[in-house]
Amino acid sequence: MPEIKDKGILRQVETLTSKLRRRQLAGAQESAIETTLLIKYIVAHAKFATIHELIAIIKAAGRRLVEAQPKEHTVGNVVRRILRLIREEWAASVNKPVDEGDQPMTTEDSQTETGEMSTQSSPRSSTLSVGEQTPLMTPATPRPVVSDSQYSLSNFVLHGRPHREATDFASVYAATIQESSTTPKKSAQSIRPALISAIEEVMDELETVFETVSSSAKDHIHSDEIVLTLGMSRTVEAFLKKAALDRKFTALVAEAAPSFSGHQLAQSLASSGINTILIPDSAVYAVMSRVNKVILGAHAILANGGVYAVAGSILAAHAAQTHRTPVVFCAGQFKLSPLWNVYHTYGSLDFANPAHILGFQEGKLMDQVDVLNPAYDYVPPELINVFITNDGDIPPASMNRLVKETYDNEDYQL
Amino acid sequence: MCNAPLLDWTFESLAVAGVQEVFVMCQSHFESIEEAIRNSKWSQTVSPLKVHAMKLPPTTRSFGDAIRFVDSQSIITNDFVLVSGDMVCNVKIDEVVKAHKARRKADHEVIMTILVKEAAVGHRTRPKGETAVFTMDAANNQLLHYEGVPAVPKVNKTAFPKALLKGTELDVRYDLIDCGIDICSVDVPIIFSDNFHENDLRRDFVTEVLTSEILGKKIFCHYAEDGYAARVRDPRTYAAVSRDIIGRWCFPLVPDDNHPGGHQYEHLPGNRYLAKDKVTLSRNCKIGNNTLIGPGSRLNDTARVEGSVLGENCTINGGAMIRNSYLWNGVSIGAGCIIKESILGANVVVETGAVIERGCLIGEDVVIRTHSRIPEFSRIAKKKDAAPDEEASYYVEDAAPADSDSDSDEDQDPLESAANLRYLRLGGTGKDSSESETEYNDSGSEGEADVHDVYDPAELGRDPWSSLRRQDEFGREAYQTLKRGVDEHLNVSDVALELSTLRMASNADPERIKKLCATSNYSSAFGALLSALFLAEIIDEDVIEAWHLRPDSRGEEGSNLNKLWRVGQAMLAALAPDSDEESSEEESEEEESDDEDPAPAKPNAASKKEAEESDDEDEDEEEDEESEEE
Repeated sequence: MPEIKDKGILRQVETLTSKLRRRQLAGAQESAIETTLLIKYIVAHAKFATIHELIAIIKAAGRRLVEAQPKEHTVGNVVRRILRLIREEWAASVNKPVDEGDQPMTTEDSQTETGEMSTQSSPRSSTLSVGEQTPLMTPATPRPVVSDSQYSLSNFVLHGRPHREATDFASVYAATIQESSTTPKKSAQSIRPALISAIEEVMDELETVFETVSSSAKDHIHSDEIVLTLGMSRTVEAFLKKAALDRKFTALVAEAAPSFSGHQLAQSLASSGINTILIPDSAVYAVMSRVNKVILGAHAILANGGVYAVAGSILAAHAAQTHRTPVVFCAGQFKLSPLWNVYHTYGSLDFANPAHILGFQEGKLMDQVDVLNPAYDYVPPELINVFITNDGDIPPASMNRLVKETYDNEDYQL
Repeated sequence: MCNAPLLDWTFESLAVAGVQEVFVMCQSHFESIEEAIRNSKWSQTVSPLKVHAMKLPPTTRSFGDAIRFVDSQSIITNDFVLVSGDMVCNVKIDEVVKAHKARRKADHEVIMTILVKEAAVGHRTRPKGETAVFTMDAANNQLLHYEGVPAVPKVNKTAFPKALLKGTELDVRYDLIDCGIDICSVDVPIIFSDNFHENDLRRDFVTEVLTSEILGKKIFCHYAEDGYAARVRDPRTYAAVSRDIIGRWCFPLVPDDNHPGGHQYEHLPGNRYLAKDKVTLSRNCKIGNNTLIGPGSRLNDTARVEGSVLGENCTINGGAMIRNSYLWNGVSIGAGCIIKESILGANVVVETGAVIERGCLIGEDVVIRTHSRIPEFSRIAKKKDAAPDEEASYYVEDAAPADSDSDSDEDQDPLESAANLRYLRLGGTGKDSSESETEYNDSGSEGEADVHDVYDPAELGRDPWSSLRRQDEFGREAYQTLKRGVDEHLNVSDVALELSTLRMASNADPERIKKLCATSNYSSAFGALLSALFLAEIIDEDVIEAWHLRPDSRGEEGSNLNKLWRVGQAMLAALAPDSDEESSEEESEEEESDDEDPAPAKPNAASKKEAEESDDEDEDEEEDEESEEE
């Protein structure tokens, strides 16, 4: 695995990893923003001859960040998303002269392996110093031939074959068409500004994610509805406040012990004029028969449509299921993770400090009782009706598709 | 500690708290500590924490000496955080520092903030030997009085100056753990330098600052409401802190998240942690709750581990059972072994069928032979420079009786305080109380012939100086002072001065000095000392009288103690008419008799004593003889 060589970048990465590891940086949005800033720094300062080298550096940094704090899923998500954008920008810049997709080509070796490519590529490779290149077994920028920048479901269908095959096809195909960008090295450097502006777009998106998610709020909440939520989620907070501009409804807020973040949300909602009722978690089932909708915030959305959400969510979801009450999760797209089987690991619930449940001073009790304080619940997809994201409203079953659209296959494993 | 060096836990705690630079002051094992730091992640260029190891001069004998050295090196130019190198915490120290700075800004006399954590009596993480009663101003947590409470003898009351009761509301608390984290201003080392007799940060320094009106400094306490902080002082707290870490009380400093050793652990139900790296588990081995298993470890068929920590590359063979024990790296446990509540050092080999009872400490590289049974509270280590495979090269120290001697030692019992209670009751600290009752029970040091039967006779015979060695610090130091005084022909008043300083420093009872004199054959100096102490207003007449009246002080006729008693009697007689003190001193000095003692109180004293010529007035000559004898 390639590692980061640049001292400055390494220091930045190291600082962020230790912050994540020590939980000095916590919270999905904050972590995502910090990660974006780091990658922006890397793109601005890294020395790379080809786009692959840049991608390798970012991947290495991303891998370290994710290893440092696997429970903060947004870190990996943001890295993956930016990687995809970089690939798109690159493809776009290379493609500009021609309409069809192409391949920024790799080492001499891999070219000669693919037989027919050698004739066209020899002039190109002469402009490169071979040693600088990252030896990749397959060409690493998978671009469907038909698309120039967007990979969407329609393209997927149009193309009619799985992504991976498309990639291979693209590379072969790209090699057969006449390559117009004769100086990839120069162009790899020259797209730096484009990359940075792409990253800044991600940044903007992250910073405004609450507003964009809540843009459709009034379509989901109707007048005189009773909405139940649990704990404090800034997305839900923005969503409910936005809805309150057009609708009059009642918000029931479960307090979410032991963090009691629900208190904070209740206060905030009440102060903006929403009819708010704060209830203990234990009352969730009791009130459910009166509730029209359960709106929850997510910590991470998995590719299978399951969700990590604040502890207590599973209770609300099950209660809602019993009463056939719709369960809606509000979340920014940056919480979408290509992982899907992490819920098998017990530790992924992120067990936090038990002192919030049982005071440390309770010496004798503490000796006899093991106290668990999971931060999250895993809510399986069958308990969820819909996700409201800044990408639109999506049922759990379609999460898989959104993952495919958002991230690149290559990057699932950082 | 949980498969990472304890110092790394401390550094990690500090790094979490936002500390940027750390000076490690160490004396013994400096080279290995320095090397460990050099090879750790803290020395990498990207490390957020700068760590410097500094060697203390070999003359450093106490905390006070160390901090005076720090002062002399002028490393500290600003307010600093003072912690001990055995601390694990997740308290946001930066916030405490902020609060301290705010207070200091308001009042320049604020020199220190002590971090305390609430924990009820009986809490596992409370250090048994060193608890304290904090008397604070309820409004702002200003510390007004500090009184250390030893575990033995049991103290039922505390006292604080009446002057404190001046209308302000007071908090008197005994449910606090002293976390060993102090935010100090630059004045602290200076005060230490000015007061050369201060040795202990709490007992000497805090007491001095609080009582001294001249200094006029203030100390505050800060409750660590949210967070965990504890020191690993002894095997008992070692176990407690390990359990706290495994129980995630120190989150985010937990094995699966932020392990200082860089290991990766997987967190499983029941707070079981398995290293992600090469752990081999047999299909029918059993892992109980609260267990940490290090990388490369192996559990064979039907092995059972519960509540324990296994280091790297440990092997547990079939049928072995390990409960509440701490195995360091490379330990190998044979089939059918039973290990309870013990700590096993690196590369210990326990062969088939051996049983290690609770409370044992087994040193590095020790081999426990097949089917041997190690009794409770044993301490086994390998002698240095012995041939590696010699059976005889291991020595066993029976720790249990030794535990009874002083308040720092009794914590040797790592886990079982109930069992330890017996020793707590029998042992004594002898430095905290002037009550004759408790003093009487102090079996560690006195030269009385009627040494209580509770004292293990086998132990007494082992080493002539063993009882002295096992005394608390004061006893040792006082003895050293006396010895030096005799060896170097110092003036008796100088010795008395030093002793009195020492006595003040450790708040010891004057009777200790008497006993010391008796035991250590220096009773010739007793009279002089007594008078000197009296003159220096360290002890007053009442104390002498009380001692004098006590029947057991009198001792047997012709014994050491009896002579001392007579000296005291003479002195009292001189004092009684409130006569000139000068003359009483002269008198007592003249009257003092030699300590030559044909039937000494203790076997250990006997073993070193020889008959010597009696009756010598001259202090110096007397001391000459003593030194020869030495």
